[in-house]
Amino acid sequence: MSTRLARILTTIFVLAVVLLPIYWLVSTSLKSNREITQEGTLYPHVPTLDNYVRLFTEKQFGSYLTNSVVVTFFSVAIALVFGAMGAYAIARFRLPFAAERKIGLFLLTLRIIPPVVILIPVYLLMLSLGLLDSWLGLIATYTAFNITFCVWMMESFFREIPVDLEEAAMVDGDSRFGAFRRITLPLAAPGLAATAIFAVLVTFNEFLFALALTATPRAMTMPRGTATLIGRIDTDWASMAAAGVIGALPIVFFALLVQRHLVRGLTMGAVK
Amino acid sequence: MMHSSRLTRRSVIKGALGLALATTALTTLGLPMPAKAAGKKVIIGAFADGGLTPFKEKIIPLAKEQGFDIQFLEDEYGVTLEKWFADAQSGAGQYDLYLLDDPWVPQFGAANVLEDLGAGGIDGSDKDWIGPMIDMGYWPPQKGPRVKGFENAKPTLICVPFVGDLQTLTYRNDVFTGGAPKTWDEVIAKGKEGVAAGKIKYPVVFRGVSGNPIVTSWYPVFLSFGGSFFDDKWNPIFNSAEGKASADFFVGTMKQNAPSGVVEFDSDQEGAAILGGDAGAIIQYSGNALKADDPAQTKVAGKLDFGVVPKQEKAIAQMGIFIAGVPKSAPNKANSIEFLKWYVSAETQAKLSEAGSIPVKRSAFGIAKPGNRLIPVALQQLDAGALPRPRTPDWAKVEELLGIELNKALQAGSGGGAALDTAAKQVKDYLTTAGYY
Repeated sequence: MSTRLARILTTIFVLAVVLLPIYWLVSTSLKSNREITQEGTLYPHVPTLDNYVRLFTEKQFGSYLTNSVVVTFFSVAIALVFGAMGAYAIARFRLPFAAERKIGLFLLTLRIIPPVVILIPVYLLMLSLGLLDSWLGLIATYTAFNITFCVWMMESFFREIPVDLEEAAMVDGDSRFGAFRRITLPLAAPGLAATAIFAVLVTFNEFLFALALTATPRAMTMPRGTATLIGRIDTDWASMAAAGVIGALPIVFFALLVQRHLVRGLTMGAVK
Repeated sequence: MMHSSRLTRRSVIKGALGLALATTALTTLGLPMPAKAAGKKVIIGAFADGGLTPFKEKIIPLAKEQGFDIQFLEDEYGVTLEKWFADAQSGAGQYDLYLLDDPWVPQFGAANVLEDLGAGGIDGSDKDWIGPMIDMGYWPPQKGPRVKGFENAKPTLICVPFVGDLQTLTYRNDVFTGGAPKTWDEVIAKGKEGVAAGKIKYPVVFRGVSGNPIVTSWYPVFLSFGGSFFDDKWNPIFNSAEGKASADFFVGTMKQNAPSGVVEFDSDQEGAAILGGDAGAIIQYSGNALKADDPAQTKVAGKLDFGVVPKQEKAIAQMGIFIAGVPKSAPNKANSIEFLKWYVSAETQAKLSEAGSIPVKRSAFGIAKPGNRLIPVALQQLDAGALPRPRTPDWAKVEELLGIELNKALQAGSGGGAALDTAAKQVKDYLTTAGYY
């Protein structure tokens, strides 16, 4: 009985820790700034959707959201396509001096480098290419980051898939690429989904490069646009909370779409 | 039945379609798509601030009537300086006009990245300018000490005042029933009476967070005690007897009469204290002051009045204005300068005053119906005395060093004078390294 009670209490505690910030965000988004800063209420006493309306009528959050979705979609899609092929090559082919084992790690170090270290060079590169404040500039930058991560992550998934399956397909006359596309890739789908989730999260929430590379609503992303709500003297907390809710929606939607694959992807490779 | 876990083509298409539909739905919910360029384009970069609201709401539509196609790009205050400076230095040409915070002018001036607006036809000698405001647009400064390398350079008008802003006193008229308190002693004494009567919880509130916030709050106290910051050779003299007395008063008496967490207060907290009805008086810029009559923003609408800052010896406030500069890399340079000429004209400034912003031309203060009651008080404060921060590209560093020491003293509740001694030494060392002497 006491074990059951402990489980229930633990569950309630964990749920509170996880859900309270979300409740607070949504609840704050429905309050006025006066209620937020001067009254500190636990729930909206006079609920209002004005904060949401203001984001889309005065603050151009429609553009920010579109930019975020488009940039994230293309950079992750491109990174997954090329990252999967790169990871497959590393997982399947042997190179002199076992270089294939080091390539994955080397690529990961590119992801590990603190972004601020390469911020200025990337800015100057985009400036010289005329890609500042454009979708293309952001997509190129994020794709470069995501590919390294995708290769590193997908490599382990491909290693889990028996090479015999591809060889059987090739014995039956399929090409290497055909076996990869028709046999290996579908089997690695959970890993692909897990990789996509992480890449989408990182890309959608990225702030530093968006800050440096964009200047107008033409290319500003959600995190970048949300920062514009912080003023010199005051901060529009109500609008920021509404922006937080709006910004979370695409990620929640995406997570719901791929959650079946995500669970398998996370456990794949854990037990041999 | 087991669900298939394969990522099928169908599920990918479904996902992509869902995302596309969600995006389309959200973006069409009342989103005004940016209008196509239909006039003289001017891309204005600004940091988010309530002080620019009247400009955005009332003046931009007027500018459009004049044929300007204004693109107004707001950003977070904390990132704009670095971003615009990088834009100007690299010649990226993302903006036509920066609305700078005035302490940034020396940095842009020293880097020679802004257009000479005098050469563009803007008259800096027009007597209608508020003198201390137009002075801030010159680099090197026309008066006061100059940094090395610019001792003999001819002052050039690289910026023009855009929206006036300065500190004034906001006070509770049911506590200070005889009008604005004239001295700091009166602020504290009458404030205590207000606390005793249950009208307020604290006589004063201010910002205590290290860095710019605490220095900005202390500065008018420092000026009112008769302090000066640098001498003509950039030697720090803020730790004079007057300066020390102001710091001791600030970290001692003022802290004792402020909310208990004031050491951690920034503008949100001090704004909540005055607008929420807890504090009796505050010295602040116009951002929060402009909310004083709006019941949606304050619990005590109608109970907040404005006045000149209290004095000990003088009643001098800090002035910090929005000031406009045109980058040399501006893609629509001619349009920007033409826009500025129109904007700083007496007629447009009168409209700005009507809209509720503090204008930058004296004639605009005298209009029949200024847009808010802070405007005449701002003129009173300008006439009583309002000083900009010292004109050096290194002001941010100076402010940081001083702010750390003041914050330490505020935490301790004493030792303001000693904090200034320590800060003065640090500032002197820093400026020595920077080649000021």
